[in-house]
Amino acid sequence: MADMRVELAGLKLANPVLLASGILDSTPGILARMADSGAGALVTKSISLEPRPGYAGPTVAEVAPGTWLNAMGLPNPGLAEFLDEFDLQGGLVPVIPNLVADTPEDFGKLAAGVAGAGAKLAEINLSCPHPRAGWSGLLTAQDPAAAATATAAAAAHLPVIAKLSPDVADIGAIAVACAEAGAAAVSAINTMPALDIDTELERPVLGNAFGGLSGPALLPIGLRCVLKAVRALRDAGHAMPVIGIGGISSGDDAAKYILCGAQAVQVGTSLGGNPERLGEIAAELGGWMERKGYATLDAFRGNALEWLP
Amino acid sequence: MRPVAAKLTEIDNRTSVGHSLWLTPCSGWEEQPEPGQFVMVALPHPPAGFGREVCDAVPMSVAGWEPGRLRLTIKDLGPTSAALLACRPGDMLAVTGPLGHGFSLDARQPLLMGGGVGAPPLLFLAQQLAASGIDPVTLLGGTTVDEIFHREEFPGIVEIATDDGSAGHHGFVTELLDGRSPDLLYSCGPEPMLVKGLEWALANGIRAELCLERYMPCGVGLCGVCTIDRQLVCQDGPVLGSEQLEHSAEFGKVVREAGGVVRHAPA
Repeated sequence: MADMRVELAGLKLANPVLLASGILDSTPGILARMADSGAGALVTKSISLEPRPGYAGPTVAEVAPGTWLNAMGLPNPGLAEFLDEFDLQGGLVPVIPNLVADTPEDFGKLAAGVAGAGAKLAEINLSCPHPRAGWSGLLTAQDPAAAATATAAAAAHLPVIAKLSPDVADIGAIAVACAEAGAAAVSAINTMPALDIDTELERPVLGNAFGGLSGPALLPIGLRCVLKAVRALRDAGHAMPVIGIGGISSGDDAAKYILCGAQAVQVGTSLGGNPERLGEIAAELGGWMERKGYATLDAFRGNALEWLP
Repeated sequence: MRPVAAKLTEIDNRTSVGHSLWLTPCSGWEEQPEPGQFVMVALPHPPAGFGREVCDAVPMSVAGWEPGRLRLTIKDLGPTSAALLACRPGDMLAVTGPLGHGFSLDARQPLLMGGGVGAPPLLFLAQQLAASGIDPVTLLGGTTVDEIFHREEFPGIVEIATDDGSAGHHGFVTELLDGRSPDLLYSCGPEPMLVKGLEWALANGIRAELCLERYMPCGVGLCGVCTIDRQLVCQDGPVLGSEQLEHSAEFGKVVREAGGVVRHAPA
């Protein structure tokens, strides 16, 4: 059997297929189910300092087969209740809290909070695709300096993964800025900012109007972004890992990201209605490795990079 | 699955209380949903006198169906339901569904127990059972006679219980369970009633199917807020079997509100 173990920012993971933030991760019960499904690690929903109730519905709509538009509005119970309910240090499968804030100071407070509760690694959401006034997600995602400041504030307390948006001119520059600010990794991509209109109702489909697009349509976009980030980091002399996210619904899709140089991957939308699919995707990746004769992930990681123009 | 525009075509006041709406979606709804399945319903525009805050999507059980249209029974429980009650024929809604897993139709001698606004999905179930030649027995409970939904419409035997004694048995509907021996208990209503129903079914070796309610931001198995233990109420439920709830640490004890904030049920 192929050895799928991988190291991510000091964490030793049984496999490189992680649960993405925002999908099937709102309660300890469903996280336990995703762990048993075979996740390499579990990224939680985005946690803010204060509770956020989320947006009015409809919050989700399937805009093409398997491709979804969503604007949940980062619903979460706030840091204190989150720490009260979720165990960040125990368990066989590592739990990586995802943090969202509008200022570097708040990113720092959140990072200190989860580090104090035993988290070994956190992901910071720099790229919410549908922020409202005062929410800085999409702005932070656009600006290497802002991304660096937020990263440094959180990285002062524990290793952090900076989660990046696809909706930027040069994701490589932002990845490099995060690396130089002390990020342990970057993850790419968040959902793609998008909109859908109902022609009968003559209004946006979602309660929040704008949402983030996810599902199979995102795979080629995510692959391009990961490849650009990997190349930019390599060219700048950074060994920092990149986590591939976007449109993964099979082991083959996961292999594509690793061939682009990703250290690990995260899966979200394709688990909708089928939570156990996560473990199946990891098993499919293992099957692909065996068929190709790869004993480890390192044996093929980045093989597609030499074809870069 | 996505929200579909649906026209309110008929306000059906056959029920003595509340308000029943027939909706005709612009597409779909030709296939019969399972009794117990639900829809996410949203107001695309606020009715006159209401603000935009009522334009939220809320889960509602299907109370009835005919090819191409569905029935929902609304009780005034909050701002969104109040706004739905203010809608008039011709108004448009956005409907996503049918969603989730409903009741099985396996019973030969079914007993249905509904509390308050839990009656509408049981009406749809009773009608489906009756259509397949099975006579259901239904127990309906409410705080008072004006909280007994659809009593005139249920096929088969119906017995009533009210907390204030204004109709039928003076007491809880669960007090009507003893001495009965159905092959399946179907139930929907307030969770303390469901807990008692499950206890009774387990004690008597009877399988139960319980239709649960949880705060549901997405309704389609993506966000995970509606979980009870490891089960998604929107996806694995809303109807869960006694075997899925027997050992639950959360059934009857924990519910979540907006943001996933935990609220513990009073002991």
